[in-house]
Amino acid sequence: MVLAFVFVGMGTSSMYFAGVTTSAKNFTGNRGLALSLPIAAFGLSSLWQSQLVSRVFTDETTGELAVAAIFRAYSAFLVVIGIIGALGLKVIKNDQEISRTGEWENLLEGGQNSGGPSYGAIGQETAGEEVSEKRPLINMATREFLGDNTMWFFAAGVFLVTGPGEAFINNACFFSSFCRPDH
Amino acid sequence: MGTLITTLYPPPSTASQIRNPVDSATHVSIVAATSTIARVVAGILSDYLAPPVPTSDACLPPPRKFPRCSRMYLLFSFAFLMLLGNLYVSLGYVQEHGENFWIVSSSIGAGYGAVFCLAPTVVSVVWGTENFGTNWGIVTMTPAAGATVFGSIFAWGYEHYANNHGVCWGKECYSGSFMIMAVSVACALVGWTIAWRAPSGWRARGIVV
Repeated sequence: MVLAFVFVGMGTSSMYFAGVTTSAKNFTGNRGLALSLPIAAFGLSSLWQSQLVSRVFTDETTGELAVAAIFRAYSAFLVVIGIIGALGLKVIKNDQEISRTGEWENLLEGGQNSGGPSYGAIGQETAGEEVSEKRPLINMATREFLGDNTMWFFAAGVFLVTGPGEAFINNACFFSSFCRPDH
Repeated sequence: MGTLITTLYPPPSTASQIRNPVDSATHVSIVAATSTIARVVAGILSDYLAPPVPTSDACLPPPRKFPRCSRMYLLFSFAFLMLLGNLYVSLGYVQEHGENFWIVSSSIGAGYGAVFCLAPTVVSVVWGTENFGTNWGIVTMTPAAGATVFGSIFAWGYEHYANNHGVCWGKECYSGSFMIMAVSVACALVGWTIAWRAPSGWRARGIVV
C-alpha cells in the first residue's frame, strides 16, 4: 500500500512537472497563461474525475465503489496520457531562448557569492569538477537558487499563504466524497 | 472545511432544531471553481499587465496603451483577498450565517489558486526558465509542510474548545486558528515585499517582475 502510494506520488509529480516546465520553457512570451493553464487543468481534473468515479464506478443500488476497477482504469488511462506526453512535450530550442538564458545569468550575478550546500554524492573536488563540467548549468543554477536570500523570503511567503489555504480545503475531507479540489 | 462548517450551527441533537444549511460539497466545488478561474484569470492578467520579460533585442514588445502593473501587485491582491476571507471567518461573520459562507470559500479559493499560478510565474521570471523545474520543485515543497502545520493549528483549536464527545461548535472553535492564518498571510505579504524591494532584492538587481 505504502509502496503504491510512493509510486502514485512519483508518477503524479513527474507528470505535473513535465507539463509545467515544458510549457514554461516553450512559451516564455506569455508565461503567465502558459503556467496557469496546466496548473488549472491539474486542479480541474479532480473535479471531473470525482464526477466520473461517482457516476461510472459506483454501484447504483448499493452505492459501493469499484476501487479495483477505478485503479485499473486509471492505470490504462495514465499510460495513454504518459505516451502522448512523452511524444508531445518537447522544448523547442530557439535563438531567443539561448540569448535569454545569457541575460538571466547576468541578472543574477549579484547573488552568486554564496556557498550553497554541496551535494553529498560528490565526494572529491575533482569529481565535483567533472560533474559540473558535464552539467554545469543545473548544478550552478540550483546552488545559486538555494543561496539566494530572496528565494527563502519568497518560499516562506508561499508557505504562509498556501498553508492556510490547504488547511481550509483539507478540512472538507470529513464530509465530502471528494476530498481536495486540487494539488 | 467540513469540520469548520459543522461548528457554525449547533449539533443536530441539541434542543434547537436549526439544520445546518451549509453543504460542504457545494463549498468544495466553490473553492475548486474559484481557484481554477483565479488561476486562468491571474495567468492572463499577468501576461497583459505585467512588464515583459526581457528577451532578445530583435523582438521588442509593441508599446502599450494601458499602464503596466507588476506581477507582484497581482500576487499581493490575490493574497490580500485570501487574508480578508480568513479575517471574515475569524471575526465570526459566518457564525450562524451559513448563507455568507460562499464569500469565504470563494475568496480563499481564489487567493489560493492565484498564488499557485503566480508563484511559479515569478520563479520563472526571476530565476529563468532553464532551471525552472528544480527551482519551482523546491518552492512547491513548502505547501505540503504548510498543510501539516496549519492543519494542526486548526485541529488544536478545534479540540481545545470541543466538548467531551469531541464535538465543537461556535465561534471559538475556529476564531483563533483563522486569525493565525490571516496573520500568516500578512507575514507572507511582508516576506514577498522584502524579496522584491529590499536593498538586495529583485528590484535592486534590475529584475523586472
